[in-house]
Formats: sequence, structure tokens, C-alpha cells
Amino acid sequence: MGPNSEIKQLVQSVSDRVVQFLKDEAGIQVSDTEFHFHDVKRLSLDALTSIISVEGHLSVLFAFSYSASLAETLNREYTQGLGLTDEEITDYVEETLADMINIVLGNVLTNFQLVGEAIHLSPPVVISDAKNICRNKQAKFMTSKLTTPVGVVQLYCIGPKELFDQKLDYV
Amino acid sequence: MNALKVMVVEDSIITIKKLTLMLEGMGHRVIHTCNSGVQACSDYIQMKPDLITMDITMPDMNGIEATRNIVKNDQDAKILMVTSHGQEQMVMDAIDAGALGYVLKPIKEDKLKRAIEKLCLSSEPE
Repeated sequence: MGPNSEIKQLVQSVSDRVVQFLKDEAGIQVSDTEFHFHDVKRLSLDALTSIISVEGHLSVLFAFSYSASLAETLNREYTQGLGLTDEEITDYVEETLADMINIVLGNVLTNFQLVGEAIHLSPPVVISDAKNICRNKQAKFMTSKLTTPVGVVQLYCIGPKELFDQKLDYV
Repeated sequence: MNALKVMVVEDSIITIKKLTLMLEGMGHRVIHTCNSGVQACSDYIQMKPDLITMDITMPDMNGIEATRNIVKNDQDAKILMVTSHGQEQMVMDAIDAGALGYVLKPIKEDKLKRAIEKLCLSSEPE
């Protein structure tokens, strides 16, 4: 399998796992999934974006960019039962998004390892300043857009990761 | 099973809270939490817990290295990896470093309970 088709499969698997995670951990149903594997020229980041770096024979960044309403609902459901007050819950939104990307990627990479290789993940970071990132010649973007009744999450696979820092600015 | 004194090593505040609720619901006592591998190594010596739950992806030192360091100084340390990583090589590295069990996130209470029971049984003297 070539690196491009492997990354395409990775994006599909990540998307499937996000659908499952939203359903199992927050009771949120995804109503529509849209993939773009070619000609993605611009990343439009939404209200909150979690980012994680994947290091191994696959070397890419993943960014999950959430609309404010989805991030808020996900956070409220994910932290349910922890005994937090309404005020405290809002302080946990970045933690929730960091947890989710870490769990999704950690779980999915089980199916993308090579024999004898461990694929490492960086600790996740979350950014809140929305911006657009236009692709330069060396970069590749693949995306999946998941729509739910409470908002949207865009999943971006960005490579090669060496081109970007953890704020998704070009290095 | 006797109530265990547990140290939780984890950099996610939500996971710390979830683990603490589950462990205390099982009758165990979380005596200490820390959020990095380096801190875990030094705190272990002071706290001497019966059980450590250890994440893998953490800043400064990852959970596998921390496990290796703790077990080097105390071969009786009981460490349960609690992580999102399901890769075979990662599991092998953790076991090789001295971990006695492995639980995949997202954490479910029944999985955690079974893993602790298994770990306690396997580390009982023959």
C-alpha cells in the first residue's frame, strides 16, 4: 500500500472512530460524513481546534476543528457525572477535546502499525483562535466533515508534519 | 480483594476525575495523582502506593520510561497502564518495562475492575 492510500485509509478510520466516540461517550449522532481527499487547498479552522502529532512510518498532524455548539455539547456530556458545577464545566472544554483526539488516534493507530514499530503521539494541544491556512506546494491536506444535530467537526490530516508547528503555522 | 492505595499518573484532569470516581467506587483509595512521568518516579518513592495507574503519552517523560524507572528501583511495584494506545508494540514495550496490566481508553469500569483483579492475582506470591 502506498503512503497516500494508507493516509486515506487512516483518515477514514479516524472518521469512523470519531463517529463512534461521539455516540458512545456523548450520545451525539453523526448525520452526515463528507470526505475530501483531493484538491483541499485551504483549512478553515472553527471555534476550537485540537491538534496531535503522529510519529512513526506515518508522520502527519491531525487537527479536529469544532463548532462552538458541538464542543460545548460534547464537553457537557463527556463530563457528566463528575460532580462539576455549570461554571466548572466550561473550564473543561479544552480538556475534553484533548482527551477525545488522544483516545481516537491512540485507538485507531492499532491498525496502522508496522511489525516491531510503535507509532508515537504527542500530547494534544488545543487552540481557540480561528484562522484559515492555505496549502503550500509541499503540504497535503485530507479532510472529513462530520455533521451532527448540535454542530460540526472537521477532521484534518496534514502532512508532512515537519512543515507545521503545533499552532498549525508553517515552520 | 483488599482496598488498594492507588497513585494515578495521568495528564488529563478529566481522566483523573473519572479514574478516581471508578476506583473509589470499587472501594480503593486514590492517595495521590500526578501528571508527568518525572514526577511519578519521585512521588512513588514517597507515596509507596499498592497500585499505580499509568498513562503513556505525557509531557517530559512518557509512561513506559517512568514504569521502567520505578520498577528498576522497586521490583514489586504494581503498575497498570491506562492508555489510548492499542498498538501491539506499545503493549509489549510496557510489559517489557515492568507493567503488569493494560487497559485501553476510553475507560470502562468493568474493564478496569477486571484488570485490577487480574493484576492482583498475578502478583500474589506462590
